[in-house]
Amino acid sequence: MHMDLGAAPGVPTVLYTQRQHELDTLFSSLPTPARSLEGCWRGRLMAIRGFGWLPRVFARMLYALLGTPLNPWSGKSFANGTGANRWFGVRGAAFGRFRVVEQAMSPVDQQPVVWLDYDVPENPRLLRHIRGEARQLGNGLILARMNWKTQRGLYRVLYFTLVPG
Amino acid sequence: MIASDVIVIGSGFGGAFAAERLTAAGARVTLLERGPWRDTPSVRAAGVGPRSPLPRGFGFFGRALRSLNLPLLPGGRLRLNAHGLFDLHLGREISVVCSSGVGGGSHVYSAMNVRPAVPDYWRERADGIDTAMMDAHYDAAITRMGARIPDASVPNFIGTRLQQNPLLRPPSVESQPAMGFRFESSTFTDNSFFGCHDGSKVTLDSLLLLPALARGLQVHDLHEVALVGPVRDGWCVTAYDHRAKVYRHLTASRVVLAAGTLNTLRLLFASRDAGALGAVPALGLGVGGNGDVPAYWRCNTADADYSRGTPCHGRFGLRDIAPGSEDDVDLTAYGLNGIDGVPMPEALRRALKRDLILVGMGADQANGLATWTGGRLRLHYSRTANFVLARIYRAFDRIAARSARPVYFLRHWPLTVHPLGGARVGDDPQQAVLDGYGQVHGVSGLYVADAAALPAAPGAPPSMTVAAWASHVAAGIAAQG
Ligand SMILES: Cc1cc2nc3c(=O)[nH]c(=O)nc-3n(C[C@H](O)[C@H](O)[C@H](O)COP(=O)(O)OP(=O)(O)OC[C@H]3O[C@@H](n4cnc5c(N)ncnc54)[C@H](O)[C@@H]3O)c2cc1C
Repeated sequence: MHMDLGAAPGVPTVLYTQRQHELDTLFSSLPTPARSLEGCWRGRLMAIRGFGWLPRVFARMLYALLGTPLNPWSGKSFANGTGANRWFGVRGAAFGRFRVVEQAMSPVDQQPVVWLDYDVPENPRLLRHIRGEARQLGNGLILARMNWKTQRGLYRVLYFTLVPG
Repeated sequence: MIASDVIVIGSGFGGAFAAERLTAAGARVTLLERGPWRDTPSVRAAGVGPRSPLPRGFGFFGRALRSLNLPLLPGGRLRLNAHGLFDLHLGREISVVCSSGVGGGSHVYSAMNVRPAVPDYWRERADGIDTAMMDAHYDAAITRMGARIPDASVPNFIGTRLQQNPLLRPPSVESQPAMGFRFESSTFTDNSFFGCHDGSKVTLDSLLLLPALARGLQVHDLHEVALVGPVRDGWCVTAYDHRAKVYRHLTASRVVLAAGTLNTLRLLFASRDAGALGAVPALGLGVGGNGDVPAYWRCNTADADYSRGTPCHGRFGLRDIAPGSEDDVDLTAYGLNGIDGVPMPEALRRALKRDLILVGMGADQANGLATWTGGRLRLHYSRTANFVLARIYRAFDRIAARSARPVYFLRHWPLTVHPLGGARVGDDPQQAVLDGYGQVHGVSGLYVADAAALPAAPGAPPSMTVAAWASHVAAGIAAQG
């Protein structure tokens, strides 16, 4: 399949109107990224747990708002098997670090996934509960899921997209 | 998640012909259609449901329009009713009318089933297509539609009605368009623009899709596709189910886009934007309107009721224009068929029945461009660079002058019911989106089977050209197994 794309892809707006359980199905069918994740990626949040009751049109407005600088979280950066969340700009402050496992199996849907493990010593205790999963939606467009690990299992918290920043 | 061999998007001439042919070849086919099953006699008899009524009576205005696309609207689009019949795309340079529902354009079209006016239309378009093979697909499609030329017994048939007209000249009866129509059982009323109430117009839901259901075709109506992209094992299609009000994700090893020109282009652009297709440099090139110019002739023929008859009354020319000369354009006439179902004062209705709709048509240059900005499709189309339009305007001016009755048409604002191109067929990926088998160049498993694929304007009503193309695409997919 031809996958050369000059400009960074746009995030399809149809993602913002979907509920978590709807995105779960899409996410399960996606492949892992064709190349290792490196560099800075701009992020957009969607399908946040607890907001599933919002009418779609309002959900779309909320996530559009969360895509503006009002939301301090700007995305993620990756380098040599590790990564960090970026705040106040896609090259801004790094907080919330993770280890990247390129060829993992998702414990949620038992399909290949890039696994983002926040259980690293640099993180405060609370953040160490986070487990991320990333797959490729299009060339240069990553769909990812943030989960919360407890003793009873993994809980889906939200979805986000990443495009080269 | 629903998995199948092929997902077909859209159930008009492209989608229904492709889906039926693939099902017959033994493929597991899922067809997604954004509109509902229509409450037509054959669908009702087959017990398929739920069905949505065609626009008639008090519900007419609520059910006539599905959505309005206007550049000025927020998001570019206002969806009025998911069950509505028509989509209006109002653009500055060209506007488009198309329809929605299982069976696509066959519910609202005028039943003319003809080959291209352009000779050798398919010659040397791309590797994999040859004229003889396409001829066989035309033959099969026209035979399947049961199309034949009306005879003198049909009310208002132009072939006979215009014989004595001093201004208008009907061509020979043999060169009148064949129609996919059940003449014997027809009441010759209410069978055209607003759907056919007595089953006399041959529509694709009853002709192709109901029989294919029995052979395993899955049809999901009211499923509007928003995104198509590659996944681990093929393709994933994201569709909104308007009935259950949920998004569904369906996977298949192949996807056939047949959502009608504008909507297929929207899907291709949206998927390209999401990085799902690669560059597709030719996407949007070659858009045309098949030279359509609709007009309203206030001919006010005494005692006439032009609303009766077949959906189209036939083709005609002007007596003072030599056949075959440059100004000899293809003109067709229609009554305000279906007007009995539109709520309005009786006196107005009687007056409207005495008038005719005229449509001029011809091979335009199909040199328009579709672009995509901020999730909105824009069509760029030059009225002056498509010469056939000026010839049709002259013909209408002549009719108005000679008959001393006004002919109203939009001289500065092209309007078409035959949008085509934008994802055209050809060997050069810089100029064409599809290869000779209908697959997007360099993108394995994604096909286009509708009017967006047409490489040029056929210059005549295009449904059979779309059907022939879709049959060719489906035959290619079926041959791959
Ligand atoms: C008033 C009128 C009269 C006409 N008369 C004639 C005639 O006499 N002879 C002739 O040859 N042609 C005629 N045409 C043109 C003919 O109808 C079209 O050329 C033909 O229908 C094109 O076929 P298609 O498959 O490209 O699209 P369509 O037949 O329009 O089918 C597209 C289908 O896809 C569905 N769809 C769209 N978007 C989506 C989506 N996102 N998800 C799922 N489904 C979707 C639509 O609801 C529709 O059912 C007429 C058209 C009109 C409007």
